[in-house]
Amino acid sequence: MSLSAPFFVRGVLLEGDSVEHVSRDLGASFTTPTLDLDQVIAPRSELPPLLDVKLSEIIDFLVETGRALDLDTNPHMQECLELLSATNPLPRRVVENLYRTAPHLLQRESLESMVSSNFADPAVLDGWVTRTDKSGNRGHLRAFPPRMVHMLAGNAPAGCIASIAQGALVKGINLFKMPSSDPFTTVAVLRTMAEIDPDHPVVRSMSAVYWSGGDEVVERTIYRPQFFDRIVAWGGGPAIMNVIRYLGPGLQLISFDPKSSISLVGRAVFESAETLRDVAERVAADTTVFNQEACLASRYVFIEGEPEQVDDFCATLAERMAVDRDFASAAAPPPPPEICDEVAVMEAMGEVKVWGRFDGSGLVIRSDQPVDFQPTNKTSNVVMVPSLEDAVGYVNVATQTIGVYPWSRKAELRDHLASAGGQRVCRVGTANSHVPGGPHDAMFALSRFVHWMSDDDIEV
Amino acid sequence: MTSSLEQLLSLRDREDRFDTPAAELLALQLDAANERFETRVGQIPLLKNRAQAGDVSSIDSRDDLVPLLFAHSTYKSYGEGWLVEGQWERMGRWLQTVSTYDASGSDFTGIEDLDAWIDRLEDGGRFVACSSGTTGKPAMLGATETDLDFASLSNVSSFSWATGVAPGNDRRFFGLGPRTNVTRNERTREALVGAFHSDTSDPYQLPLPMITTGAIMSMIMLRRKITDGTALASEVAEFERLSAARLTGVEEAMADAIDELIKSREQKLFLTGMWATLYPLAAGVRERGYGGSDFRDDNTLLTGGGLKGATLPDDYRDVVQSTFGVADEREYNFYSMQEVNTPFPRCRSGRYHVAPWVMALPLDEPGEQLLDSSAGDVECRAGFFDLSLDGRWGGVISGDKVTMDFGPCACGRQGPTVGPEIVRYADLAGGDKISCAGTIDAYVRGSA
Repeated sequence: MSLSAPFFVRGVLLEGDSVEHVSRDLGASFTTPTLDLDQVIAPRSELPPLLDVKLSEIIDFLVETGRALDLDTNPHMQECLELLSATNPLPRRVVENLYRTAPHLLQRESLESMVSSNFADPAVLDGWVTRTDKSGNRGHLRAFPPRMVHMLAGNAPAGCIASIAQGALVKGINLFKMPSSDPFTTVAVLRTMAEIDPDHPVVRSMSAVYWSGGDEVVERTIYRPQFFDRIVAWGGGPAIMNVIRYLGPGLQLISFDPKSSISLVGRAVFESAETLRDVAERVAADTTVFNQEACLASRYVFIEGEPEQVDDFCATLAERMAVDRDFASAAAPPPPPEICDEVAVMEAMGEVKVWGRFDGSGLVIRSDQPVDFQPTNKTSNVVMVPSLEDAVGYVNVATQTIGVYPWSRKAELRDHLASAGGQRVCRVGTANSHVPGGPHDAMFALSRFVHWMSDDDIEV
Repeated sequence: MTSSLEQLLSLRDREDRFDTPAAELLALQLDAANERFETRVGQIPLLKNRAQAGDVSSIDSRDDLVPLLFAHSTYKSYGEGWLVEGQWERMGRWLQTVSTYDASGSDFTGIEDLDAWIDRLEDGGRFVACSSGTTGKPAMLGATETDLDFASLSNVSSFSWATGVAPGNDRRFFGLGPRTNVTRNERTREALVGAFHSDTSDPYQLPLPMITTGAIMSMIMLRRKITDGTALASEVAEFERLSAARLTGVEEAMADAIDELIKSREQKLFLTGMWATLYPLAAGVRERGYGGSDFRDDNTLLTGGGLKGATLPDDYRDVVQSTFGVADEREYNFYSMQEVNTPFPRCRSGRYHVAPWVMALPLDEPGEQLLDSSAGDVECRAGFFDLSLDGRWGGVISGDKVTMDFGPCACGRQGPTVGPEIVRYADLAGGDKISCAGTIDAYVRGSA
């Protein structure tokens, strides 16, 4: 039987089973109400509901929402957890952990730092801020609320919470396009908000719906600057290629591009057996995030050292990749057969050495050049390099997070890594942790979301 | 006494070869599959691996073949860097792991490029069919002289089976697609010319520069440099210039072909090409005021594959057929793939017939299980075991979503058939995928 995925349209829950869809990853069927495009588009003649709501009040409301999302007491999130197992490849336990930790994004400190790192003077969000030039001319500036479509990523079920927070902080009018692998979570979060205060302007600024990505009838109609200012896309893939066709003057894409991440391990790892164990564990933790479905999950390890030493590292890494973690399961879905075949052929040739197994419990491949395929499903390619400086050659514009050991070498490498296109360095083992308010994919997104309206008051 | 394998392969040109119920052939096929398995398991390391992992020591049922099927990617499992850096000895050792012949002990000194490496191997009877994909690593499929003979001759006899036109050296051969320097493709062409072309004129070939593997390599290498961020702007510009020049070349070649087709309109024609080229040629001939009754009504056409991304009007097939006087029954269509050695000709009922020396394996989408096909047409991932293959393993798992029917065909014949609707799973993925994880491939624009 089909799962029911209601919509949430500008504060109102819309139930209905008139349209049947099939989820992309697992082929589960789910039903939604009919999408009424007039309902999800707020005419420009109406001022945004959040325009005159103080930022502090919005943050209060988000913080309260964060508390209400507690999985132990929130029936919508509990129900979602069950529904998601039919449509999402992530294990239930990992989704549960995500649901338990994601509300931390709605903590006051986190929200406030997002605002303060994006806006030199957050008062621009609440009203017109005036500056005066040398001649005494005044310019008034406001970060006016944008109209945004958020194309949510399918591989991060709690990512919608961050998107909802971002949309609320910039006071936008938000339409969330849910992915087929999770047509539930966004609505569950918005319902939770509506139960706190059904008339809250945050609630009235949010809609979450589903259509099959690439559906021209929908996308050609609504992807127009008359309706929206920004399309925010969390990721890459065919969905983005579809959107790009509709971009033009007035309709901007803000894309968090598809990324890969890597680890750089210096020879200091071999100073003691204890260090080797610790670093291997840290690399394993970075590699297995969301069973390696995440952009920040490490896929390649560039390592200095003698082959026998590197072999020890590989063996320990494979062991550590096979364990259960908050955001990874001991047995992930196995790597695709193409990867297994390629590795088997290379191994038969003696070109690579392999540790671990092909069954999703973790596979480590040691080679002297990176493998040609993208390592997925808990697969790590350990590449021996004479020095970490040589690994910079393998960093490109698709490289996001670069975990480094020892920590001190981050500072030596980071300018070169940035020049090659990399976006973030961190200590190995902390890829999934962030200092609040930091940039994502080398940009401060909130300041790009808003419609920077100016009032130039020049006295001639 | 002839072995089961020899018995099956001897059916190559038999008139009734596509008319035996699948169940009647099974015992013979399994026996032949074992014959292949026993020799190959010692020659192809990947097969040995698979047999061990799948715990297969002999092939007692069709199910035993499933863990032994190789995907297309198997034949591109070498390191692209070896190719780019010209590590021919290493490439030879790789080829050896997926082929039945010995390619590792060869002397590759003095080899400068891929074309030369392939030539050197071919001197020793070790053929390599290199696919012409330009956006990634080319697949390299090992083959022997026996394979090239079997493939090209079974193609000739399939053509005759499907069209009722016997080899008679009484037609003018028109090659209306680009030519490649892949020996396998050339042999296929030579066999058709040898069987159907009349000596009174030269076979026509669309005058485009031959697509060499070397040319493909230079595209791949540039793409790799763009990916790495090491390509110079001037290199990209030069590539763009060459691409533009190639397009101009295509227009001129098409004009030449249109002339030649009109000139040859009174001859009996043997046309070969893809729809994406055939349609504009037909339209061009029409524009010049020719077509239909200007051509003979007993011409033949060999075509295959879909539209390859081209957008043509709905009536493209009618336009081509009616322009060149090709009756429906003299259009030869077949289904095949690089990894198998045998074409499956289309019958008048529009279904593709699988030859008796090929075992049709209807698989579930992941390719892990054989589907029950007892109740008629079944939607499946196509798998095949081509017993004719000599230079590599014959077990193939395709990327195609098809239907297979093991019952009698509407055309009146027995034996497994593949339905007319064939789509690639890769094209089905649709536009719904969005993920924050991805590779540099998404950042490389253009045809390079």
